[in-house]
Amino acid sequence: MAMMRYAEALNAALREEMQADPSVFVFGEDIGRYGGVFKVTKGLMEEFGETRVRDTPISEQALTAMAVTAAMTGTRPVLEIMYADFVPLTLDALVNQASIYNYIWNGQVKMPFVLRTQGGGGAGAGAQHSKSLDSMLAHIPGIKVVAPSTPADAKGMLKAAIRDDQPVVFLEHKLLYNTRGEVPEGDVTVPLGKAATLREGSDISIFATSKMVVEALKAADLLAADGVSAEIVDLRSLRPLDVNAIVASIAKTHHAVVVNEGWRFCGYAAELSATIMDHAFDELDAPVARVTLPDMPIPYSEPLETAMLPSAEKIRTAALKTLK
Amino acid sequence: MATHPISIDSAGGEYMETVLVIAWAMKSGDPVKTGDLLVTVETAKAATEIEADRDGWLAEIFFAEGQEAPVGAVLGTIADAKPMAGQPASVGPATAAAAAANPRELVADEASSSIRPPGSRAVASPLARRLAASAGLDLATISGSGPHGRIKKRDIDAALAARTNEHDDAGQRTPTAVQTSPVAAPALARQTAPVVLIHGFGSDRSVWRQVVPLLQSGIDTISLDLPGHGTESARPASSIEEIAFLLSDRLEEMGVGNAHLVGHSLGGAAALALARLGRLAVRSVTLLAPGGLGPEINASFIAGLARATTVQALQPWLTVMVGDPAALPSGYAQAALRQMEKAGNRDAIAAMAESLFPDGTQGFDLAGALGELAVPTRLIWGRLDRVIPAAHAARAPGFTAVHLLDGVGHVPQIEAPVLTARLITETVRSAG
Amino acid sequence: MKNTPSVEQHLEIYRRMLLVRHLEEGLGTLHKEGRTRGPIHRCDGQEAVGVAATAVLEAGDKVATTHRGHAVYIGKGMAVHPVVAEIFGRATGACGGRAGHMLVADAEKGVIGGNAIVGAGIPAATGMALSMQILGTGNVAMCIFGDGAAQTGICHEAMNMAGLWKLPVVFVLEHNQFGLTVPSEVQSPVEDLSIRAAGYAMPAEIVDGNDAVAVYRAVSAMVERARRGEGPGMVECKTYRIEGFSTSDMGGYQKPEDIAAWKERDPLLVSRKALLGDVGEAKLAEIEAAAKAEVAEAFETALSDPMPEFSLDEACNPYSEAH
Repeated sequence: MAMMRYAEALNAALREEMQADPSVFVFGEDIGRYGGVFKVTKGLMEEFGETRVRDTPISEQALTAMAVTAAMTGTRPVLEIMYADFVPLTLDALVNQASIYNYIWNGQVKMPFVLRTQGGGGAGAGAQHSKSLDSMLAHIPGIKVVAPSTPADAKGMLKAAIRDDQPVVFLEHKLLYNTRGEVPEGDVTVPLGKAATLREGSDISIFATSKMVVEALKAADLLAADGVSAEIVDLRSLRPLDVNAIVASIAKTHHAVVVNEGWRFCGYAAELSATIMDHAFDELDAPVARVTLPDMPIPYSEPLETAMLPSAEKIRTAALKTLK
Repeated sequence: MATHPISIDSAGGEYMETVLVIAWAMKSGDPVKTGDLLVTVETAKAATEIEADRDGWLAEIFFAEGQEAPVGAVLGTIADAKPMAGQPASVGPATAAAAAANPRELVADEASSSIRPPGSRAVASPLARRLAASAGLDLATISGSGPHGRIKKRDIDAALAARTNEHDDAGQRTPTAVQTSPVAAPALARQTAPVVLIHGFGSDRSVWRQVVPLLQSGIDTISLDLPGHGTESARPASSIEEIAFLLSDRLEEMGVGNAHLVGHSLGGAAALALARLGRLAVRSVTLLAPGGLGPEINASFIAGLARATTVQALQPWLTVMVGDPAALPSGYAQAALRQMEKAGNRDAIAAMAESLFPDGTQGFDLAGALGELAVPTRLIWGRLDRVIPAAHAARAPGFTAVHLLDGVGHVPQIEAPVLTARLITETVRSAG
Repeated sequence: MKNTPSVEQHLEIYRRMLLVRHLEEGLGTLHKEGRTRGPIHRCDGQEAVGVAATAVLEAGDKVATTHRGHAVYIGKGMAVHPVVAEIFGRATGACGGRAGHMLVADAEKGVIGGNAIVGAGIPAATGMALSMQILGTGNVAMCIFGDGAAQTGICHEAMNMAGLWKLPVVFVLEHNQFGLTVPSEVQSPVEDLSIRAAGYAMPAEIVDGNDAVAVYRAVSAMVERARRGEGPGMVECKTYRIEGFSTSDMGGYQKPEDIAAWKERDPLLVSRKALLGDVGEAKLAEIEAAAKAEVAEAFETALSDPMPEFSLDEACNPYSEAH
């Protein structure tokens, strides 16, 4: 085990996979000489050269489309889209290209590419640099969407994503990059599609991904002081979703709060609620509570932004209301 | 408009849980005079006539003719004023149909009518609804403590506790497990947790009849029929989770809170799913050629088993099932077919096969559930298994005892009952 | 002249153009009989571009094309039957009936593939070229795109990167004068769209798109350059869309005199005239009869082929544990 920052864990995953497989390459804006706006690709250009580590023009639309066909023709591209807010620029490549070929072409091609991006609020980046568009991405069939919350999962899941033969969108969070945690050394992968129970509890289950897991863990401490035992399940993968883990937890607690930093209407939390109803309706002792961003743009000023974002306190309030 | 319930609590008699509505003497909206015959119900093999206890109009009918009503139920209401045409209270066949769909919810006695007016829907969480149904509790008699008077699990728990106390006060025995054990419980070394045996796809609980008498004395057993099978043929299930839920419900009804699980094939997968569900305290697990440890399953066997209607069609598949055909008791095919005819569940199990084993693949993975077990666990597999490959045993985690049986196919409990009984006994004993 | 196709090569180009023409005409007939499904985009009169451009490519080279790609499918080596069967949604189609005529692919032949999002083929080929450069395969990617696609934003993004990184990709502009019903001059301030190539530091050549030999020569020069690692190139082939946008096109916006003029310069006539002196009438008649028979047989077989059956396909399910 080594203590690492989340960004360093990602960097280690990229480095190890590039060392192990010459078909892996990384490209994106500012990722080469500068090492990435969030320093995730630091030192890679020095080690692997400018052919496999490319600074690109500001061309998200074409870059994503190119990742799709590069992946079809023998390489394993890892594309960095600097902000999740720029994901709408990539959508044709994901919706009309990547999502269809596996099925439409009858399994003739593989598409092993990873689209890394980071989202989330809390850093004063304003309405065009703070969003979480998880649901927009997870809505697209044929694409895997994962969002690890710990450095260990960040490394293990990025390695698994690079080795996956299908498109994977890898969602990071700007406020997680500097978080630290123990990361197993060596070639350790974490499977995509498996949730992790980070804290066992008996009264209520809280399901979250990415930065919201951190908030959920804080909420569990607050709830413990309220006399409530909360179970925290880090879904880790938004799609495929570990339905078994969700059902097992609800079968124990009979109460659920789902947390997502994206918008509420048609959002990922809504999907989770519906999934719970599909699979565990008769286990529910109360309606599923959703904690999300309100359906509004994210404002700049600190008190305005803070008021909007889902937080430990909001999760606690929702949990207590659910348990009434 | 004030309404008054048409009650049947005096008519039912204490030995009955339900009465049958034979005929209504009038229809809703008709005027009623005290002493008029309202409705005839069948109680304890006799017809009982219920007369109006006041003047008014027959307003609502909650139980249609031919329908069973619980004792204590309100069959309908008498209104003080003539109901207006089209008013909700003037009930036609639609309401009778709604009542038919879920009569319990429409039932109210005098005490609970203050909680909800007769005819209104009880507000309860899905969990509370399910627990009440399996405990035979009438939601209308329970007051909800949740938001908007919603009945929650805690309210059901409280009601059950109250009922238990009543029984205790009356010196009655609290409900306990209905057990099929052929072994009388001896005074010494009695295992408090029973062994719950779960059979495989297309079979029923009788598959354990050779093994059960061979278990060490003192071991209580409960042989369950899987959903869609045997006595449960009317209630099929479409996923392993649903199977686990239904089995768990039945155990809960029997008052079984902890148990040793033994499962064969699909029943093995069900045992793992049941353990994962976490509602039962599992003491040990013995799995015979269980499902859920790999994708492969002999699809032709499953299809053949579900399809066969003659001895000639079934025999070859039964041969596939065992290592040595001689291991099958003579007439086994005939008996198996008779069972299936009796249960009338051929369509149900064919549908279950389709949803559980889509495209000839086991549609569930329980290796994770196996890995999470923290109790003594044993895996028994015939080396000649042609239904689920014994190679799946290789996925067993290190804490599992694995027994690979020479010359045995898919059903160790039939092919090697003595050894199977011994291994089950050892697993149970090792749990202490 | 350098890069001129041999007589045998030209004859094969002519034969494949004939296959495509019979395919298009056969589809037209069956559409009128109500036996086709969905819109079909015919490339009658444009066969020289798709067939002659791809005739330059090697087996390991890849091509991305448009929703009007029949000439490219056949040009890059796909047999007629799997293409026809795909168009009729048969289980025996190139993609088992899942793709339909606009999205045909045959990965083994390097056709990946048709694309019905106008402009999307441009970054697609550019991405393939990026992969080829990184792996050092020595292969070339080709994009066939139209004058409509040339107006998209993604065209600029992709060509900029192709030029910047000297990617082994050749952009073949099939300038057929129309984006659906809107003529090119209403879509672009410049007539010769390939003048934009200078902005991406890539050479460009304008050719008569109805002359297979001219197309072959120009494309061949660009492909050789790209294969040598000297970067992308563009060939603008001037041609004309004879049969309208698709089978659902009501027409009325193309001038009859334009159609008549372009029909006189039909690529089949242009090639036939050139080949007549080299191989003689008998040889041409033989090839023509064989091509016609080959397509007729493909139609007959395809139309009696089985329809696919729907199933949830684990092999093509990205969430399957099998992957």
